[in-house]
Amino acid sequence: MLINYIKVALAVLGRNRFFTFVSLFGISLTLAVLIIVSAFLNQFLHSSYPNFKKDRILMIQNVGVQNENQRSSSAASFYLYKNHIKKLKTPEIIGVISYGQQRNVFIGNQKLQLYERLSDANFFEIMDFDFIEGKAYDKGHIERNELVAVITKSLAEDYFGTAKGNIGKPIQIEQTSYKVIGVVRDAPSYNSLAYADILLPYSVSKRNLTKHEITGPFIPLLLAKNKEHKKAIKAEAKAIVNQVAFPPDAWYEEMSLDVGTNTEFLAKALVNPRGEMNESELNKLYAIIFGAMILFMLLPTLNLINLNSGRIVERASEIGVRKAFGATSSTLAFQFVIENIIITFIGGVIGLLLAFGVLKTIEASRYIPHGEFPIDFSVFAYGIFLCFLFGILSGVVPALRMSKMSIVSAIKKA
Amino acid sequence: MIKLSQIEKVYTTKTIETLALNNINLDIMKGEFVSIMGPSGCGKSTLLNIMGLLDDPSTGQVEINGESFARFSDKQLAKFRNNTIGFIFQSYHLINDLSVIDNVELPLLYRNVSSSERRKLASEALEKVGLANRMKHFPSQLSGGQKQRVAIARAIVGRPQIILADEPTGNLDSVMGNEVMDILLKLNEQEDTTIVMVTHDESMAQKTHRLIRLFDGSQVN
Amino acid sequence: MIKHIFLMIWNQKGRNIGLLLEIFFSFIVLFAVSTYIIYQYNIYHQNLGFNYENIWMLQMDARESNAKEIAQTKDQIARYLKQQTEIQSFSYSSNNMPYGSSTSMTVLNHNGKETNPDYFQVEPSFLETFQLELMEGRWLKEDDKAANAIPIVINSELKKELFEDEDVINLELLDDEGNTEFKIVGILDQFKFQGEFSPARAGFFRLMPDSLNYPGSMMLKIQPNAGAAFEAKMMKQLNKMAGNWSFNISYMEESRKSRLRETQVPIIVLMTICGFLLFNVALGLFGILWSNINKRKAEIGIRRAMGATKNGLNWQFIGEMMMICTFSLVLSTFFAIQLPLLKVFSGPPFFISVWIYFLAIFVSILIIYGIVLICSYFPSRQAAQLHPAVALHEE
Repeated sequence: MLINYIKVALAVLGRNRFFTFVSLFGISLTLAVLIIVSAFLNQFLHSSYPNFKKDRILMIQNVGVQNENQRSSSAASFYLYKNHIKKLKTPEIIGVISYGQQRNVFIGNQKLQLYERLSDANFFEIMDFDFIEGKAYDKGHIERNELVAVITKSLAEDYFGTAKGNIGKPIQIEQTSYKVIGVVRDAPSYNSLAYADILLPYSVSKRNLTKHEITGPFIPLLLAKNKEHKKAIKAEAKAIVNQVAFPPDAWYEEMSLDVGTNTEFLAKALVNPRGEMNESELNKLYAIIFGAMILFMLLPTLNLINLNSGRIVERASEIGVRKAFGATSSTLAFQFVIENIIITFIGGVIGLLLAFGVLKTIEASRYIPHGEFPIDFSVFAYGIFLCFLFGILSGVVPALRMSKMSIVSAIKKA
Repeated sequence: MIKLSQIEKVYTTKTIETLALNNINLDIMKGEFVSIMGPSGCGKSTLLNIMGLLDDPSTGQVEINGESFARFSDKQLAKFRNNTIGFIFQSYHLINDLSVIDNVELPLLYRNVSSSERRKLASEALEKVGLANRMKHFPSQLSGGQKQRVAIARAIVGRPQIILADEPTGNLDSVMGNEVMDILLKLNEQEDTTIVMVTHDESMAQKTHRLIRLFDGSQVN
Repeated sequence: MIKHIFLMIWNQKGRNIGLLLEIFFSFIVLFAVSTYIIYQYNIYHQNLGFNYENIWMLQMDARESNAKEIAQTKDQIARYLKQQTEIQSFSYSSNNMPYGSSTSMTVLNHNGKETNPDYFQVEPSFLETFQLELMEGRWLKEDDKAANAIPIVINSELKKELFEDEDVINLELLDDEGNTEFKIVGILDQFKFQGEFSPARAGFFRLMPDSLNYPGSMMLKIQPNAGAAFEAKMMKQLNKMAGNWSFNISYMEESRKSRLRETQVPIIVLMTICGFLLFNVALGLFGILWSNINKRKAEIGIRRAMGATKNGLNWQFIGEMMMICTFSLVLSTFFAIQLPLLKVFSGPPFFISVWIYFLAIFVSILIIYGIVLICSYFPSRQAAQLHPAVALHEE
């Protein structure tokens, strides 16, 4: 049966080159755009190198202090991290990364801008960096206040002129010289937790890390085992708010903080930038994305419906004969929908190739530094789902119209 | 086998009603070969469509094998047609996108028949019409007579008890027309298939058991 | 003739509903996209109010928070910078500077009206550094620091929002408790510090007080030929003078480029997607028309046989399409026009003027008619070329 449908579908495609071109053009470009978008979203929302455990990494953000009149919020201070967050019991691993700072480095008269971040040793256990050579700093380096650095491959190339054999070399940033002990593959620039050109142990900070304050530039990271575990961690971390002692001269009387995955914070920033964080933002964001995709598919779908409907008459004879020999209306409608899905899949394959080409071009253009947009299994599965959806949406209306045609007029018309 | 009682068919448009069939009563026996003749527009095809359950009469009753169809759903009708009736049309109505053998297999597609069985039955049917060597051709590569023989193969592949043929020789020259007619006659004789054929051609009609003449939607004797 | 065309469409309404819907949604998409683009283009072309060329922005961070020490270090740095021939002009300032990410806002009251302007703390040299355009009154000067009411220079947007036609030079503004807080000494045109694509906002300038316990930022207007070598030399010197401060320098022209890109990229993506959708629709219309006309070959033959000219037939088919298109546009314009009529998004924070909506509707209608005309012309002409005998024979 299916083979029969495929034969007919291919024959219909071959019958009129112009229509085939118009249909496949619309289908393949529509699906290509959607696949490209989902490859992007997969990177931004799901997982990207090196935080492959993205769904299990909770971050503490939006640390705020306030009194009746004023409120100020940013990330956590090192004081808060060391004295409270580090002492949490539920997380598997607790680490910390700072916000980045732009640093200028001069090689002769050449200026190099670097993005510098501070972290602890656990950060490298939470993230899965690919080390090209050397290794990360450990607790010992931090305790001994050693001036060591982990740099990226691209910085190694720019600064030393080679990607290999840089372990032990000094790198001079402003007035301080650090010893390179590890070189990692670059994280993409949109990876807000791991993107950096150079990672330094927090102990080298020029700031006074012991200062009694609540807000600061540090993002604590808490690794959870699984979904259930995440809930427990969130509850424990949120309870910190009631245990923190404020500095004696503080203007604020209350503090607050949010705990969530990077994706949850991103969703909150997009969906609910001003309000308080709750658990529904992510679902809302997915709903909006899905809605936008459907909207985007609307015109190509209508177009395909119109094209297919216009061509019903071409197939009147076939419809009449099939009905006369025992096809029911629903069998026919099913056949036409299947045919349309087959055509959509051909378009989908072309779309997939197009999307692949575009994504590779974007990667090669370096427009998004170190961006990687693979069409992995989830994007591929999503593409297949879209094909089905598109095929059904654009096939049902013409199929129903075709199958409802009365036999007598169908036979007469041809 | 086929029993029509007091069939009327009225086509209604906004302004006029046209009476296409008027009080037709017919009883066709099993194994009979009946031809229907009459001038253009006298309602021959409409009568055939009603017999084939492709069209509903405005009033009156159709009975085939003792069954009446007033309460049949689209699904039941489709199944009944598939099992009991085979159709042959003046303009063949082969599906151009399918090969000859695929065209012949079509009625079996709507039954639970395995694909190897379908292939076997379809080749047998094509052998009967003498086209076993054209199985892989497409309709566009065939002559009119060959096309009509494929259509016959398609009509008989499901071994229906009844074949309804609407001017099967109408588009063919007399040599090809006779070939087609011979096949139908043989079918009637050897397999005891009931055949109702609409025709314009007096000489063809003379070869059948019984001749019914229609004029302006009414039976004339 | 028009009535005849209308009849032809009406009799095939079932078939035409799909076309109607397709044109309807195309219009809606086009309208939304063109509104957005016209809106952004319009903002882009409003006066920026300053010159970003050859400006370096130096952000400073100090470990100590002693106002006196900070002021001393700042003086020392200023003395050094004055000697550098590569620097045309410089000014200390607050951190909310052009193409940066910081903002500072405050509340101003006047005659019961309230507004939330940006406020910028600068030095007298700031006018020269950014080549600001003074419209009325005077700019801030060094001895303003001693004044009782803090002298401020407002921008024209703040003037419009809070004072309308009032004469504001030398006007004093009161704080919540009724004490004199500010005195307006001048009016600037604009200072769109968030960049070309952000709408003009109310704002005012005051001098930076000496009592700040953080260093803030420094704006440097440098000679066009000064490059990284000078930057390296200067940074070395600055680090020497302020050992435990950290400095972060960025070129304003680069910050501007990346800020512009934040709006330009979405516009390009939107235009690409919109263009693709329209191209898709155009091909679709073309295809639908083609198959419609193929179905109507007999009709074409009869019309030709009855004396219709080729041209007449051509125009009849185009006319049919245009009429369907017009129906659709009337319907969709009815929806679109609700936005300007109800002044949707005409208030804060978008301020989309009514004329933008109308222009967008006009542009969208024009584009849709253009597409339909092109897509119907070729199939129609081909149909009209059919020889009547051939056309009739096909049936």
